[in-house]
Amino acid sequence: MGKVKRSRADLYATVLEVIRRYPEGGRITRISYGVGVPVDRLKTMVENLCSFGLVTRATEGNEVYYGVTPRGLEFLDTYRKMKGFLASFGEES
Amino acid sequence: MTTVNVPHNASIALGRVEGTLDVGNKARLRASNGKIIVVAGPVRFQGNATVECDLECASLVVERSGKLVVSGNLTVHAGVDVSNSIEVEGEMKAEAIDVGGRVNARSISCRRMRVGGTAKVTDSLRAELVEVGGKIEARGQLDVKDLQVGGKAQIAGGAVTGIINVGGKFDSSSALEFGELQIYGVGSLAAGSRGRKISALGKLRANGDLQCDEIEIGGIADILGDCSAVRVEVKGKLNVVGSLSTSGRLEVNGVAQVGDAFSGEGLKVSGKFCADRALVSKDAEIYGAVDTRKGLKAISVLIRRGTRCTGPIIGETVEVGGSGPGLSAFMWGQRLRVQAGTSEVEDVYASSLIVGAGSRAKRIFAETVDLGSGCDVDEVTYVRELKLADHVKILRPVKKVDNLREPPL
Repeated sequence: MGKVKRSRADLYATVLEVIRRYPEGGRITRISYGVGVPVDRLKTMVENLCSFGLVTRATEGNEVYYGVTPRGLEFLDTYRKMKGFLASFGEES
Repeated sequence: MTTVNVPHNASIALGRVEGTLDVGNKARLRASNGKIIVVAGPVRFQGNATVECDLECASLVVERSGKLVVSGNLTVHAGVDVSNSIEVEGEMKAEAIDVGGRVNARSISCRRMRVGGTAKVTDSLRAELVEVGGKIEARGQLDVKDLQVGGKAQIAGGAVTGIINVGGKFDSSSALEFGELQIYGVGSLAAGSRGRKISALGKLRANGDLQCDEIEIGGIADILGDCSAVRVEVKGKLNVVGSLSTSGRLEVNGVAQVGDAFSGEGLKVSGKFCADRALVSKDAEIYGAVDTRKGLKAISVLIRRGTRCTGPIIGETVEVGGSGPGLSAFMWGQRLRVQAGTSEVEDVYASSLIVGAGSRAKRIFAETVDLGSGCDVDEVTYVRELKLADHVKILRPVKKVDNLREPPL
């Protein structure tokens, strides 16, 4: 059986989940290894998350660091709760 | 301090390095003594590398998208910092481990481990804090204080004394001792697990006996054994195959099914409660349906209007159908059944019994009985007082006795 394709919400949640592991700010390469998505695809997703106000971007020298905003944590919490409900309804979680 | 450089693609034997070790991409290292390479300072791998022996060093960094494979044990006195992935065939010991992608080791011992992607440990895992963004698979014994997993956690057993927080699925295959288990999705615990608190938003399944002080289930809980707790709160469905005992209260806003006996200090059900027998040391409050084979016994029993009960009810004070469904029934979206006279009970044994208007009972054995208007009862046996409102129907002649028969529980 192949892996189930992750939805956009699943991917966003995974990206946020990985970024939140870096309270000091996560770099794009490291996040890409965590999420399991190539850097070019991840960049688009992170930019989207930034525009939704779920992720912050900070520059230090030549490095860009990403962090999760309170709204991002709220999304993550809501996403997990919804997954929890779906799991109790017998849906695939 | 000296620096030893290992060029790209080189295959080299090393003994003890007093300074720093800098290793180029695709290099292979082996021990000149056949056992271990010891580096007094830090080690930097510039990309992929293979270490064909044990390695001990002050600190370790793997840069770029490099993957480090160590075929022996890895001992790092300070931190391990790996951008992408690391694989250690033996034991990995470090103060702190930080891996962007994947870590794979036979056993891990550290103070803190942070993994962006996946962690796989085939033997023991000892740490104060383990944080994994994606998935953790630990098939050996755990000795961890706090475990935080974004996605999925598949562990064997052991002890996680602090908090286990899992965003997705959680599965323990042998008995686990835990502090607090927080699961957002689906959780599965092995038989004999014990803990302080479980809160699961989705589904929880215990594959045998479970002992936990506080259990809060948002969705469905299946316990395939006996369960003992201080307090249990279920907002969806609880199914206990064996017995359920709570030193505090069982609160169900859905369905609770207990295969054997329930015993507890308090019982509050808005929905349906089924058990072989229920022994409650204080009060029981029920709206919906109760189904017990051998009976429900409590000091005080309140059966709200619109409730159906099968099996005997035993209590010091029992009220049937006198009060409405209560706030929690509205709160949790239960079907409103407020028509008067829809409460139905079978045999009731009480010191003091009040039966609300329009309710129906089979046999009543009580010291004092107060039957509201329009009640329909098959048989009444009382000791001291019988109050009858208008239009009460009693099928058989009322009996006044000196002593009541013994209740079944």
